[in-house]
Amino acid sequence: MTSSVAPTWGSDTVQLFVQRVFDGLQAGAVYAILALAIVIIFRASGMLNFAQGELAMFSTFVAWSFFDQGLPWWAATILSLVIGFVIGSLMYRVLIVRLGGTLASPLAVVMVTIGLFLMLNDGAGIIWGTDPAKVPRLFGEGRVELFGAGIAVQVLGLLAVLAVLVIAFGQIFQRTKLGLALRAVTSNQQSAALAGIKVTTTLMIGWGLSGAIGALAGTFTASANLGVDKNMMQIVLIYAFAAATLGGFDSPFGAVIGGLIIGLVSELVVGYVDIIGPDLRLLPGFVLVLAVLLVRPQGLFGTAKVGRA
Amino acid sequence: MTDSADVSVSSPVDPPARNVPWLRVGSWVVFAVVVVMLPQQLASAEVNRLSEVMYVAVAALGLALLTGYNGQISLGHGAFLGLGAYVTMILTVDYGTSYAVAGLVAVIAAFVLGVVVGLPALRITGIYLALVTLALATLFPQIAIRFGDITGGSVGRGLLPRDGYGDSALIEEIGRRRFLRTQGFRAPDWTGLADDQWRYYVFLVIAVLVFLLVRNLVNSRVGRGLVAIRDNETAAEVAGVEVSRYKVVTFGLSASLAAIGGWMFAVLNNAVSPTSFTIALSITLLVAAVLGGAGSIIGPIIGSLIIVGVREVVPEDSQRYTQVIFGAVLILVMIVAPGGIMGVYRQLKGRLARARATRRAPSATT
Amino acid sequence: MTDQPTGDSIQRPVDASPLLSVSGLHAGYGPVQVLDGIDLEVSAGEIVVVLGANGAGKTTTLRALSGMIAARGTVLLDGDDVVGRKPEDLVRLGVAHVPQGRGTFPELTVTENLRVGGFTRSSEELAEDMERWLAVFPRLAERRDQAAGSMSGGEQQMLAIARALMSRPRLLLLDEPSLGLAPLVTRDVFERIVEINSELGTTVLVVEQNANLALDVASRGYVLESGKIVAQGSADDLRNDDVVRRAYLGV
Repeated sequence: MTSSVAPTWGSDTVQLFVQRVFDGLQAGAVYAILALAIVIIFRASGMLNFAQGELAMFSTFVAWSFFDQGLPWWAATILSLVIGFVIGSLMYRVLIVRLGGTLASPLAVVMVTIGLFLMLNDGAGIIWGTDPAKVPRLFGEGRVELFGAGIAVQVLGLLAVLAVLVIAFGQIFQRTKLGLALRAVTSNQQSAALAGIKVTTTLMIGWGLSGAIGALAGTFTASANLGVDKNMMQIVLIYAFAAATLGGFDSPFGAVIGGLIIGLVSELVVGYVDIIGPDLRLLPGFVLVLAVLLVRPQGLFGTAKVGRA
Repeated sequence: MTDSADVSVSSPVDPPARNVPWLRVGSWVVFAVVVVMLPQQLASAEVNRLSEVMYVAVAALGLALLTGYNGQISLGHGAFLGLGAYVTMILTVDYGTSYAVAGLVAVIAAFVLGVVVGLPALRITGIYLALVTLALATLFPQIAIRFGDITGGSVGRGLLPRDGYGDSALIEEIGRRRFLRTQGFRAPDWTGLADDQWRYYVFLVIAVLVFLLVRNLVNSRVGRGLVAIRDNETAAEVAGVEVSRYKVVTFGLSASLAAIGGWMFAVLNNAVSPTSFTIALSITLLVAAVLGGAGSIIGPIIGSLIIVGVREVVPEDSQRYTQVIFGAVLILVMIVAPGGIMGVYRQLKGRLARARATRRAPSATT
Repeated sequence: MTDQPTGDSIQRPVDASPLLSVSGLHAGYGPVQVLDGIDLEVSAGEIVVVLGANGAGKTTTLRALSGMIAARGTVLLDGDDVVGRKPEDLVRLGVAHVPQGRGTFPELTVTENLRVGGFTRSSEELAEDMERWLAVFPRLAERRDQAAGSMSGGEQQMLAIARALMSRPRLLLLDEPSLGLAPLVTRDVFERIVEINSELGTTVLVVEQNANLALDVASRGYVLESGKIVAQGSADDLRNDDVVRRAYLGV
């Protein structure tokens, strides 16, 4: 099925363009997922978790261990969600609560999460060593013809997962008691406690959910690279932060859109603008974020209170 | 609002010794003598290690000034250090400038970059500053690679001038001084010192000067303003402190300090490469500052000693554990002793003084 | 009842077992201790007011009672010592605190605010109470899907009270309900409080700066100054007391 709008210079250009778009969406979807994890924590407790990426990587490695022992990869992926949940909620309960919970100074939270970053990163290296940890693609190696280009089923699957995630989260937040509790705690923590909501438990669950989502970003990154590597999430984290900033730190929807946009922009600019080689891949995304911030400090979908100093 | 985990615990000024000034002065003298005599007693590798401690300490001091005293976050000081190092290498090796001039340019360049980063950060929430500096730290090595013509790409720069610059025939023509510069930072003949010793002493002088300057700054009215901003920006503004100006200048200043550390790096190693200035360096500086106590002047020195010491002491095959250790250290310090080692020291000192006071006047206690 | 110039005597209703009995309550914020050992009592079904100027410790008192801050002393809720318990536990024991400044959830709708209020209740109770309170406060019913933050001060105050009542409390703690509200609106709010107290029998402890209105609805009162109770008595006694009149009634 070729595109009906075929430019006169032939469909190769179109094919390349479509390929690039989907490459961008593939990368962007992973950024979106990790950005979602970041935003959930930020909305719930006003903090940035710098260890988000390493948490995802670690959960993926644990899942890989089971896969290595014979568990099918799809089951391992689900397992990684559980592990991410556990590590995330423990992180809140054990570390953040000790710093004073939501009253902790942002500096202290940054230091502690960076400390965890270091521990998880090197810890992974120590536990799983430097041998390659191969993983398959969750949705297989098939390709589908779309708009004249062969698009990997993996990418489409990933986008589908992202869509499901967004919908699922919307439902959880808007319709369940847990979601109400999370939104109440975010909105006014004191009043939430006065209404009988167990604030610490609620935040633990929030961080746990964030860890689970992050794990998903980890498994898909591993899938894309066909292997788990202890440094694989570091650059993803940077992109995810950029995505969250672009979308507005307190907007889950913004995080997802931001991720997709940054993925697309990075891929297309690097592909079509020669000065920006693959070395400077990060630059277009950052320039975009900076530009948006100058005009709208709260990001595309953020609320005003996020933007101001 | 009281922060439950404050990076600096008490006032920036150490309470003056009241009872035994001679003990204090005496111990400083002994310390000074030891520090000066050390290079004569140690092998050159060890002397170089001490020089390493000094450049880390200077850069960590910059970070401590920014974070401990002014309450701003920076995850990107490694980039400022790297900027200082690269500028120094390129200017001295390619253009034959003296190390002093190169240092001056590095300091100014870093100050400008620091102001550029710090200015927009004023308008947006503090948490963004962490992200922007993180981005800076991540982008730095990539930019260094990208502009490989000047920076030497992923290989980096050493004492070899690039093509068309500092041509060796040209060197001999221009004279010995230029030639010496491409040999690195050499000890002048009249000192009779080895290169590593000469470097050590130069670093020492610079470090002492820098630390004294910062200490005076911190103890001045300006310093109090900085701390006021850290503790409560709105209150500081109301009290007449020009918050924006202070914050931006402090950022620039702390970047300059990191760049001085970078100059020292270049002088010490005679080489720069992108892998030396990754986010890992920024984190190392952070650990040094926080562990020692970001709210103090001596803190960064202690932190740097420990960091470099750990790397020295840990055997080769266990080097990978250092990251885990540093990470655990950061976490433990923030939870248990947010003021770092100096913070703990001050608390103990305070408790001791209080205990002495109550012992002297038991009727005064309630 | 004899007229006494400064009421030391506490006029107790005949059924004398107090729902809330506080003795020697010390509370504060870290090094700053605000309450210096206060005693008070509230019997079931009463409306009791605590008067005091800014900084006297009124808000601190309520915060100590609802578990928001650390406190020392004895706080007996129907005989159980609850000092030091967390807010989430106290709600389940029947204490509801409407904080100063309303404390609504601005991003949540009116209905959602109420749902949060009834968090500790079963879904049937929740549904019942939701309907009831929306009926009692028709202005809230009109705005049931509106974000709480977009409503007027008076409406938010009603919402905050309704939200507190959703947990079916035995004891309602109100922190300066008149703050920031126009006199007519404040009167409206106080009238509702009286309604709720008489129809449901909910015990109310309200702290206020606005003594006039408060003394009109309360049966008894205490006067708090610099963290200590300096006067107490029936509402009438307090209203006729010269010191109180000069300090708090602007006479």
